Amino acid sequence: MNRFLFILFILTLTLGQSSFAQLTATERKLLKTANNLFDDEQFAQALPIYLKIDSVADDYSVKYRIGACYLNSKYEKLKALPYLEELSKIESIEVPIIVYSDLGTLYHYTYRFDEAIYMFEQYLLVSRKDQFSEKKDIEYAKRMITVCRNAIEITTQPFKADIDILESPINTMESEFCPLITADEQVMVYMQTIGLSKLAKPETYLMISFRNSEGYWGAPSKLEITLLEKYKGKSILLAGLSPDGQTIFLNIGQGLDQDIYSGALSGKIITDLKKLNKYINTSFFDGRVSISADGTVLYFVSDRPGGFGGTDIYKSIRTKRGDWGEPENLGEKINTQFNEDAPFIHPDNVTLYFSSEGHKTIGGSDIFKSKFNAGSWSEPENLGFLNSTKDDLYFVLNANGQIGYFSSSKNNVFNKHNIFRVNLKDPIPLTLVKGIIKGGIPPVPISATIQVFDKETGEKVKYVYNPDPETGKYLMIFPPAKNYDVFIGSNDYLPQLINIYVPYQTYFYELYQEILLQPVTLENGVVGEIVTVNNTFYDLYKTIEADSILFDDMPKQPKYYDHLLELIENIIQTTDSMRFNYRKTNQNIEAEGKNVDALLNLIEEAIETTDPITLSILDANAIQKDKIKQTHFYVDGDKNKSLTPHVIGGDTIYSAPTIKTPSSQTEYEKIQNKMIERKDLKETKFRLSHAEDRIYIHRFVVNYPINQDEIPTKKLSEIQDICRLLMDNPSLGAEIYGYTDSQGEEKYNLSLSRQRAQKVLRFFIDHKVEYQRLIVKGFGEAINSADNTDPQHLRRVEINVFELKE
Amino acid sequence: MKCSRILYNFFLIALLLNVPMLSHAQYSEYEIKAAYIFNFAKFIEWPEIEGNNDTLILGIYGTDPFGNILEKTLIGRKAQGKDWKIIRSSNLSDLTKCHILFVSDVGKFETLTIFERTKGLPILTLGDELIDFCEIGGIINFTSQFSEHQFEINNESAKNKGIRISPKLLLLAKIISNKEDEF
Repeated sequence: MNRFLFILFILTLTLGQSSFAQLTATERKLLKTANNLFDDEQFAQALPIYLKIDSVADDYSVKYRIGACYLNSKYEKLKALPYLEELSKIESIEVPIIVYSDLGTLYHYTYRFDEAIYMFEQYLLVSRKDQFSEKKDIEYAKRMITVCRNAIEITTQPFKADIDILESPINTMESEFCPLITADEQVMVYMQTIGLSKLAKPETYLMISFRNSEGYWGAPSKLEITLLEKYKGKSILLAGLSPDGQTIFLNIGQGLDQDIYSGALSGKIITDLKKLNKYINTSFFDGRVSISADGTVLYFVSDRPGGFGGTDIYKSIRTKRGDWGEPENLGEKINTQFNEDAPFIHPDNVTLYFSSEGHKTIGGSDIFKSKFNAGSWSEPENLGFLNSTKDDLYFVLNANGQIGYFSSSKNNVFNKHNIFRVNLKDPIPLTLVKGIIKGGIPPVPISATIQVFDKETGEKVKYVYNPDPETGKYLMIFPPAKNYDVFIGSNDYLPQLINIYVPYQTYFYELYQEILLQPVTLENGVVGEIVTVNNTFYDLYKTIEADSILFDDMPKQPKYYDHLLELIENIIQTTDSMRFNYRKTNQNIEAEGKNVDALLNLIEEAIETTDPITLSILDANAIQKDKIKQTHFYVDGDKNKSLTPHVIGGDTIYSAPTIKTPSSQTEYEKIQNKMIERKDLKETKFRLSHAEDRIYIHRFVVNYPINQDEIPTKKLSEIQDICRLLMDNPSLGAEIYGYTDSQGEEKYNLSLSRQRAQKVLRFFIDHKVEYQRLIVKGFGEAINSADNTDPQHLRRVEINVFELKE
Repeated sequence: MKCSRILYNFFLIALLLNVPMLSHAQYSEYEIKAAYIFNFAKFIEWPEIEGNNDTLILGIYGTDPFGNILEKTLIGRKAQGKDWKIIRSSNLSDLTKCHILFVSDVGKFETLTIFERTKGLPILTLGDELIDFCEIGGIINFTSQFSEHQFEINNESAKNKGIRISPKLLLLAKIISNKEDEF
């Protein structure tokens, strides 16, 4: 705080010649030493001496110097308060008027806003008569009066959020600050400064922590950067994290010349560190970053010329070529003549959180929120409950708008920061899709690319959707009430196009998706692929509604609201492991135990009283899941023939036939479809179909010795494999066509060909393949083909597996 | 309204009949299925098996979609005065001593293999929404959400194995008979 230094000069002028009659010679000597130290700005050394003198002599000048020493200390500023207070009560020409202003600053710090306003007004009053008063001090006092009035207004508003300090192992005796989380709140990166207040050169590290299955933050570890030696001698600080946690942004540089770099984050290792382009990085300070969930907009801080003063927030849009375009200042609604910093664009893409020393701050930097609506930003709103009169800087929020993290030095004398978690109780409607993609038998995570298109506009939303190749996990965040096409590409499987509809919702909606790609194999190769899409929905609003219908004596709000929030929290904590690993936390065991008993009793009673209605309600009220399993067979065994073109946003994309998940249908359609689904398959008329409607997916030939109709034993296992294929896939039928060579009588040969086919049919039926799906014919003598005259080749049964065209 | 009309009607009926509905909780699919499994055991009698009359054994063949829900639901609770034991295996020879054999996510061919290998053993085969499970000889099959009945039963298959299913369960199920008769 430079302003306190100013005191010193006036002091030397006005109080320099005070008398110290009561002091002994030794004390005078001490005072002289102290004054010398004070003049050299060695306040920490001067202070104990002044304190000693003060204990024996009552002198304004000593008192003021003690005050000044404290004001210039790092952690003990508030101790100046009683000394300055005493001085301010003396109406003496000897007391410098800046004391009023300093006292006001200290009162403001300690939330004594009324007294602070009085002191600043007092300062303004006397400053008019004072020739030494400077314009910037007058402006400061005027601004502080406004700030204190803001503070009175904001700090008296009802407090609606819960704020908790994170426990060990995140917060320690050292300083933890600048937390950044992924949208699903599973990963947190932050900075830790070790040795603040102790070491001459405190060290700052980048840390990462993962949330464990119990919902607590796990032991943090240091982030590792590959090729770190390239940045030797430069400071490396966190700048931002993409909502999916796969891209990390760093500030690297020296002093105020900071540049923005992006890198890939995998586990705790940062690779591929790249400096962003020249539009983003200038010779000026370029700092904190926030990237939109769809990866197309980058918000960042810069003090480049042309802004509104101090650091301003800019945004840059990704160009068609994939790089960042020329940035644009967010404008006067957001940026002020003071510093703006730490932008955070919520995954809803319209809510911006940022810190500012301007706007309606209650002191220092405060966190503000503004929404982008109809082409402009709304008046920034002070998030009063989490702001203090000190600097409040870094604030991030999870996808549902519920849980935020920030760091603050609140209540810490050494200015050490701690990380806090805040429950805002102010949700933003959004749909979060967490998924996992696996392939093969047994399934393992595969690397794939996922692209999402808004069906209406055909616009491609890119960049943040790709699954992590190690875990197969991906994350997508959608504004609700829209249809989307999800296009999945992978090396070993057909490209897939999946439609999903994200319904409109009032609250938060979460979808857990599992995509499984598996080959359909016969002994001699792959004939198709099975795609399984498993969607599990949580519609919290529905749960509430169901509850409120069943219990009309319960108030709907706000009791339910709290319940809802709890649910969201639980869901977020459990989704990661939802299917395989239900959460076990101590406080939940008892409650869950009760629920299981209730469920068991309910079902028992329903069976005992043969009550189908209760069972139906239970069924209908169950967490909705939909599973779609589709098998794509290769046409003529050729993978590429199975692709169909789609035109999306002007581009043509080839994929396997589109998969419509039940989530892209209304609930009525879903029920209807489920009812007809099974009937449909059974009634498919394989035998009546025309040959041109059949799509052949596999052909198999069995050759026979002369005059034999028994299936050669060495072919049995392959034929059994075809039986398995037919049985597991009700959509398939097969032709069984028998032939003979031309030796012998024609009539006999016809019956021999039939017998050959019949024996194969018998084998199929013995293996439980429905005869309705098999078309059996004996063709008699096969016609010699020019390229193969071997009679063995003619004595055969053809098994042609087919699918019917839709 | 997020609820479909059908659901809404159910709720009204529930109100009218004053059904003791569960508070708050929306149970997941497999929590409910586990609860059914527990209750099935109360309404089904198995023939005496020598050497094992004090535990009920639930076998899970191949894929286990339950996670630890089964443990949470079954372990520590008794049905027919017996404790539960859960065996998970992809090898049928480990599962010959089961009372209930739960089968999920397999094709018809594999299902038939299972029936073949457990022929004559008093095992209640239980399918997890498998196509034609009861038609080809399975005893109970869960149906998909929003079906008219929550499960199907092939009582002939049960009888053949000496398993007696309570008429109360039969009344709530969709009854399926062997499809083989059609041949």
